[in-house]
Amino acid sequence: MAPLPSPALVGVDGLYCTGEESLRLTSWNSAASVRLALGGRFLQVGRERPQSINELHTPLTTRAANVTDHALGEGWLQGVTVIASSGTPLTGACFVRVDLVRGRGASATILQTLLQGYVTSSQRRAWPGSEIESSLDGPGLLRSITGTDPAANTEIQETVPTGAQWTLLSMRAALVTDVNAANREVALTVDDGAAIYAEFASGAAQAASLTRQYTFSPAGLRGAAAVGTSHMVAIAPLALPAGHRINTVTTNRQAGDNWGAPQLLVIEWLEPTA
Amino acid sequence: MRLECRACRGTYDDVGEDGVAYFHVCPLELILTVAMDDAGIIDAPLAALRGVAIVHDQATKGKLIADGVDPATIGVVLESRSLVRLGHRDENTAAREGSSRETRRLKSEGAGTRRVDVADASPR
Repeated sequence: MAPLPSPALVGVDGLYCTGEESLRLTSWNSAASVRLALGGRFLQVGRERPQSINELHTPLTTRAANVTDHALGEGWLQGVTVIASSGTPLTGACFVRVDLVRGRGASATILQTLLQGYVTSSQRRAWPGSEIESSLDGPGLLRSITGTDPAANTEIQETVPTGAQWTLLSMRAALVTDVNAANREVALTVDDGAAIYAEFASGAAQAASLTRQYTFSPAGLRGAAAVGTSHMVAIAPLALPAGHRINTVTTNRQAGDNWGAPQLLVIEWLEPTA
Repeated sequence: MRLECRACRGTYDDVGEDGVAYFHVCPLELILTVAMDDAGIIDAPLAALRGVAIVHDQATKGKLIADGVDPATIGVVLESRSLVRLGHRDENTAAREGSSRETRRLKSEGAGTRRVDVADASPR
């Protein structure tokens, strides 16, 4: 076997590629209008100066994986970087991984993961240099979400979306009771898509023809305003994987009782599924 | 764009104010088995019990219902079950079609949605 040609300008960290390898960029993203720029330097065999890598990649907005392969020639990969060149994803909204692969499509063999972590429009991931991070590392993305406004006679139910993990910081919603005489009592339950594993009762009665605001938060003790219209319900801080559900349960709910749209404050992490 | 689910009649915006897509999932439907003083035992969704004062516990019935309510209009819940409603919709991604396009298949199309004029929708 002939010895490898010596690169004139390559550093010791250059990664030799045979010509059969590609850079595979995989993204998971929830933010709108994001485009990623994959950059780098590659010194081809027979050349004295490295060439630049400039590729664009458009992530999906559904937290599902999007994959693009970028072929390399024979030579030395000297550096790779990824940044959001369009859009303004915050930390926690756009997760990327760059692998060195041999072959194409689903049958390709992953040879090496070069970088992995969240990117923004001002924070890059780079190889060499960046730590390979889990999508569940870091502070997460703080989101205020307006949920579904249920029809009358329907409870609130919010489901953690596929590809996400939430920590619920707060949920606030209003219940308007109809004229039927009965004391309603509100609770918040959390389930895994089937079985309930947590229930937090308000401990307050709401009679007919009233509007009351309920705030569920791990921040404080249960309390109700003496003459106001708000109830505070203490809940446990729970990490909720995809598919887990946050529900109101209104004991003695009447046919005309009506919940308004809930407002949730959550920390979201992306949790790649494929 | 504000949408109304044709199954549960809930309304929601398909994209949140932070620009992140919102995936609606229908809540379960509550089915009650109710004992009525004058009509025996009824098995029905709550929506079919308009005009009936619903209580969930025979033992607390007297405390929960205000004075002056006709006992004949009081329904005592013997059993309650939460079931997936007809036309259940789940907008989460079941599968993606193609490697670089947004086309995707929902977990459950259900009864579908209709567009709602934001001006006509209830305030948020």
